[in-house]
Amino acid sequence: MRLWVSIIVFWIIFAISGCAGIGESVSTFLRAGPWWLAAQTDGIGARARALEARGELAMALDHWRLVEQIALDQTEAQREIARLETRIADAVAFHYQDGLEKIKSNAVADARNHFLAALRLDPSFEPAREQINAYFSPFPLVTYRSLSGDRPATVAKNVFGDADNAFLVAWFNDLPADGVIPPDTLLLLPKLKKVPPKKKPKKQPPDQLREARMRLAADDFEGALALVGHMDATDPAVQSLTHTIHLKQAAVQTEAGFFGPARQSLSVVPNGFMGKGAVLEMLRSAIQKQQLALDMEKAHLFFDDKDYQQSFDLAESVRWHTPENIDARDLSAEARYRLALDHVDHRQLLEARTLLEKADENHAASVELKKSVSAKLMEMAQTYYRNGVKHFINEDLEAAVTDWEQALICNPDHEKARENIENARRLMQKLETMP
Amino acid sequence: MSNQPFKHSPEQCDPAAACANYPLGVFLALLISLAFIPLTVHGEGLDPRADRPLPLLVEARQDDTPATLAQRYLNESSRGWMIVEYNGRATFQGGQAVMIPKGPFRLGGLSPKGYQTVPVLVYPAVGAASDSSKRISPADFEAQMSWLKNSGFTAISPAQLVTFMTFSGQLPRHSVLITADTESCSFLELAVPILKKIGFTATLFVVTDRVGGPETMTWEQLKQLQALGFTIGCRVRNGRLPTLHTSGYPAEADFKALEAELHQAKKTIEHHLDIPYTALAYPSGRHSDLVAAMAAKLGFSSAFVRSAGENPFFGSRFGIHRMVIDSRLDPEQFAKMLTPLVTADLE
Repeated sequence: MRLWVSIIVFWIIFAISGCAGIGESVSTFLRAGPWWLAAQTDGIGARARALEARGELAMALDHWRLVEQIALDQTEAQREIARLETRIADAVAFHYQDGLEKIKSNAVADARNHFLAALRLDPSFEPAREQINAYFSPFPLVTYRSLSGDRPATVAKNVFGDADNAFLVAWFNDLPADGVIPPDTLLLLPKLKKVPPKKKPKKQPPDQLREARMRLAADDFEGALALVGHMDATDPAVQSLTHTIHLKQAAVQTEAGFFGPARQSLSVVPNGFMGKGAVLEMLRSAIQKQQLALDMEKAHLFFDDKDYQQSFDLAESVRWHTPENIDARDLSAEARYRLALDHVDHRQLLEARTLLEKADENHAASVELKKSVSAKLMEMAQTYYRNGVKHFINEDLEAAVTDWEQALICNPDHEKARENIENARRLMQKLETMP
Repeated sequence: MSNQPFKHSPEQCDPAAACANYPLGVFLALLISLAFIPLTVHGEGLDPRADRPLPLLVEARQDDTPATLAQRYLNESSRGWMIVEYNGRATFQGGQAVMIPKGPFRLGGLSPKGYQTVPVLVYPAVGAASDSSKRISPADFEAQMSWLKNSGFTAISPAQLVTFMTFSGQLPRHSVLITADTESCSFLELAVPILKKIGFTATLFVVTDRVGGPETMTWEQLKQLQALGFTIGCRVRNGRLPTLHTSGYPAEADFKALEAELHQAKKTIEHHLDIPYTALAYPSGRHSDLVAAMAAKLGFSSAFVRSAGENPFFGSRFGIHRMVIDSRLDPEQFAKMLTPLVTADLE
């Protein structure tokens, strides 16, 4: 019975502990020790006062709330909490009101500091947060609530001042470009600055050149050109900077593969201007590189289409310009092999041999085919040779010479055929001179 | 200082064994305790009047450090700085009362003396000295990282910075975000070992089309860096934005090209690294309002420019300033740039 009572009491205490937020386990409860905790109240209270003295009111309040939780006598903590809560609320209200006043008087930095001070004291004080967001926290999107009959074009006209920007309204809100927008729809729109109309200054201040140079250094060519466009075009410094901008723009466009615009940028730079030659060479080289890449693509297409001759010619052409091009080397070797194979299939062994003479020694199939073609030609040479001998025996010297010549074509090293041709020709001359 | 084992080693105190040996005595003692003390004895619960959880009051064990306390009570040793800042001390003796903050207690880094700003550094390249002033030598890089470490700086990630800037998280007072605009193998070979030695991580912004090219890192290597705690962001697909209107409105074709560039970059990096990709560095460090808006719409949570400036919590997340660190910077200038507090009267 005693044991059962103990077990029931244990589970009751365990449940109460959990509900009370004691949390992890009863062991934690035992370790922390309520008397040890209560003994810390003086220290925590002292730290709360120190924090308050340093202006850390929110942290001081947390400390007093903790004291309230652990102290055996909570009177002092409750008094301090009430006092601090009032002090914080007053300070927050004061800072917020002052912030609003400062905004009105255009003292922006002071206003910001007041709103930040309010947030520091009470991070959950939304009005201060809203003021900070509105005035000091730039976010690239703004909201717009649609009106009855609104379409992307009308919203663009209202917000951006130009109906042509309807595509922006549509894209940012996943809307069709010309559909009607239901009224009261909350739209997200990019926050774009309205550009004030530019006035052309009569005389540019000297730092405008510096500004243009800075924009050039940051690759902002449009900005730099816009600036120099408003300066005195007869000023040599402005002319020089304009040419430099076009030159650098051409280099960047070349790097990006925009050859047309690069050529246009270069065309306005006078010949002889320092650096133009180098950029021109860079553009030529880039165009050639791109052309060769296109040729290789075509060569692959021809190969896939089994037009090995075209593929071979293009790949060889690319190799000629860029001997280090591995793709061109490999494609050329393969196309050469396929072409030679075609010749062999059509019994054009001599053409196959001619092609394979320059075959890549690393292309195993070509090397094998070359050996096979060579062996077949040797065999044919021997056949021609024997036929020539037969014609010679039958005293048909002309036919004999023709066959031996064929043997020599098939095997240029066939010495006997060469000798026999010479002998037969001498004999034919003698016979011709006989009366 | 107490050496009683039951206070320092809670795991050794087995309530089940205690119940078995002295059932009635133990439970009576507990009942009596509950009768005399408040129910929530160590402040772990949420005070209904407070908008944030009260700190936990615990007793430090012998040899406890902020990191061990943070590991035990906050489940993350790297949050030891919260305990240090909350208690105003960095060392604790056994038996000493320590308050463990259960959540942010200084949102936005706001203090009576001013507000926190997070320096963000960008290294264009780390490598052997050359005539390029953009490239910083490994020795200088190591010296700068050591200076940061010795000055108490903690290297944070873009995600942590976003939490700070959305006013939902707190950062160590001396926080710094180290970034590099490179995908070069030399960063992996020269800078990463230094960062690992110091105990820092960094954020790499890569041009996705260049990854896997000659002398550049592969996606596999980037994935390994990610596993080490590095963040991989990118500088769009080919390192250039088709148009960069600083203020006006683009033609629709330019706009579409711009969208394709950002969208493709995001898709590529998410495909290779299997994580939502949220950090963007504008190519060349420049941006426009429109690009920033587009980045926000496409789901990026932060975007970085290359220009000196403060990064307080109320700054723009789509125009986070980064200071370029290159070989022209001497140690004195470097130290001067790393100011984590903007003085203002916030009393």
